[in-house]
Amino acid sequence: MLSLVGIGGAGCRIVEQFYRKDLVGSIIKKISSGGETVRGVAIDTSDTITKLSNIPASNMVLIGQSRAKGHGTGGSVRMGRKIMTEELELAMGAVRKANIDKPEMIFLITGIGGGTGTGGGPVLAERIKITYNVPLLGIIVLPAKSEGALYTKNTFENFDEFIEPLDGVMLLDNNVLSNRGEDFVTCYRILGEAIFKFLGMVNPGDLLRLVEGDISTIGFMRMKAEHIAVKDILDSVIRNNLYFDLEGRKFDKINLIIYGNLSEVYGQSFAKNWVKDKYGVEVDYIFMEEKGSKYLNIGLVITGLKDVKKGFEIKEDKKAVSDLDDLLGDIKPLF
Amino acid sequence: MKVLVIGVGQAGGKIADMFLADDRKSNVPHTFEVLAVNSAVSDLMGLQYIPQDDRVLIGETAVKGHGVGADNKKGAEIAEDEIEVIMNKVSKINVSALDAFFVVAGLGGGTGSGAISVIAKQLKRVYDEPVYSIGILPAENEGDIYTLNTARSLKALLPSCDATIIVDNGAFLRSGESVKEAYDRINAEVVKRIGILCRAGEIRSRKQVGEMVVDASEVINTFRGGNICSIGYASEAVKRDGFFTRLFKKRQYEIGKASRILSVAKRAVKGRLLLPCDYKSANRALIIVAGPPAQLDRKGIEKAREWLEGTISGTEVRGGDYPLRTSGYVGCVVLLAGVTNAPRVKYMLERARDVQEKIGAAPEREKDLDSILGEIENL
Repeated sequence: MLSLVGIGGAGCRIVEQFYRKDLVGSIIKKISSGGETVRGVAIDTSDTITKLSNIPASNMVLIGQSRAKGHGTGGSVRMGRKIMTEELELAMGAVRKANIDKPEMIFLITGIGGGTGTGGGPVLAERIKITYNVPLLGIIVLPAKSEGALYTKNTFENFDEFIEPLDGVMLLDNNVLSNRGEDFVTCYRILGEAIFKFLGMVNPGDLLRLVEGDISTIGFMRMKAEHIAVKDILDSVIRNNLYFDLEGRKFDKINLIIYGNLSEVYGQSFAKNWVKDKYGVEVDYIFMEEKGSKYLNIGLVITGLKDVKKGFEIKEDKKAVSDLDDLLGDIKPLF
Repeated sequence: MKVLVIGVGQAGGKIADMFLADDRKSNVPHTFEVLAVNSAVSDLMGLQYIPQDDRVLIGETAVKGHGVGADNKKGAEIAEDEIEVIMNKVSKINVSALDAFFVVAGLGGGTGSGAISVIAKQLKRVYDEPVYSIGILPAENEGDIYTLNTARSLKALLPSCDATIIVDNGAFLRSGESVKEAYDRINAEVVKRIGILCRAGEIRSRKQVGEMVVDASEVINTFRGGNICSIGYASEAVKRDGFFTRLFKKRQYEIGKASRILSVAKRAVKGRLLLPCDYKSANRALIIVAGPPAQLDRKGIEKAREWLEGTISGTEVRGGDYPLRTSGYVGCVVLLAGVTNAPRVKYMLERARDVQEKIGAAPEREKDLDSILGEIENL
């Protein structure tokens, strides 16, 4: 059972991916117990969410209509926080309606850096924790450099506060895709698809054990089951399907999850040594045999990421002083 | 972003008139609603497009519809007396659907110069929506009284609205132009820039949606606490493919799109500002690139924004695109907010201070005259 809450532009667009008709199919039904589908809630201040046609209308809420008039917050974290605080019950109403019984765990999906998600996220997260008292995992998309210094600044200032109420955090970095030359629309589609497929394959219990109380990142790859070494699988996932730059960063552990036809996979201990040499960390395997499958579903969870905020440092404002005020003081007032 | 433009005085009324004409022709009509306020009947009658109902004559009892004759103190008094008449007209417009108010006036004259701050103040008091003003500076050679009017009007205006866009008439003067031509051209410049700024977020159909939409909130956040603002605009014509060219064209890599956007953006900021100023002293900025969708290169827009981020004194630079399917130009509007170093304003204020001193000294001469007159025998 997947219970999702998407806040802000990025969050809502990723939740939308879970409802894409062509994708909702075998994977979800197979993995989530009892064949139930996903319960996704989309909360935003911008009326562009009404253009997301796949999420059921009852699961969408436009908050702050009186304050933002459906125009979004324009990157103002303070405004996002204010709107969410004022209309918390409206937002919670949608969450409650979607989750009538107690869900196993809830995923809070948002992009950090803008206004609605960055400001409103922590407020809603705290409330969800009180209401449901289940693990609340955050899936957070970091902004790309090209989105502007304002987003970088918002991220740097609000990241710690943001992850505070969450039980575990999964980070995805938009920079990776942006550097590859993808445009914004494609970025969200790719990230959304990766998250969707990853959550679809991984066992919720396993996931919770791995990411609880930690900052981690996730990757997903699906490939034909042919004779392949674990080392090559790892190498390929890290290079192509991990949306977080590991270069020069410290982390605790690599967890490799493989579901599928395991008879074609070999070389586990060699891969262990290879990772030890390259990154200086341990590898944990979670294997699950799926007889007769032609594919391998590969999930990667890298846990214990350190100094995540690296690269998001703030550029200081150069203060320009004005002498116009003195001059204006000399002019006699009109009335 | 839906706005109500209130044109005060002669210059303001003309610009408001032009806003209306421009709005009704555009692809997203009714983005601008317009009112004109004046104390002179002749100025109100000179407007072409604004319906009679939306023209407000104030101070009929005080000046009998002849205007205040460049006495902005009187302009302010009249506006204060009849503020309810103006507010009544405003409330007839569907204010809840509006995102902002723009109050427009020439700062050198009488009615506009005095009334603009009174109206702005009252709008702020009554409504939650932000109030912006567009103040037009007189040209340098228009005379001392206009300079002093401008300075005093500006002093009252800056604190009474959220941001003030200042337009320098002098910066756009060309030689050998009639007064009407010159004013029309300057007014058109103002209308074009503000028009793009406000229409970029107004999406009425799916085809118009940009990849990075500049919503009203982004404009409002850029203006917030902006004090003095300036807007730059530059454009470059692009060749549009004809029907047959499009049909038989080979798909090949087109270069130069990104560098065109960057160069247009730089030109807009460096040379084509409504108020010539030191753009490096701006605190916040907003950049909108408009044009045919195929020409709006993402890398170009990003680079232009990055360049602006590196040059202005603050860090907040917002940006986006505005696809116009039938346009033959790539244009770039840059809004600079919180400009602190504007030589033109500074010079104007300095001169006004001198004029003020001169006026303070004037009565002594008159006293001379009075005493001589006293010695003359009565008839």
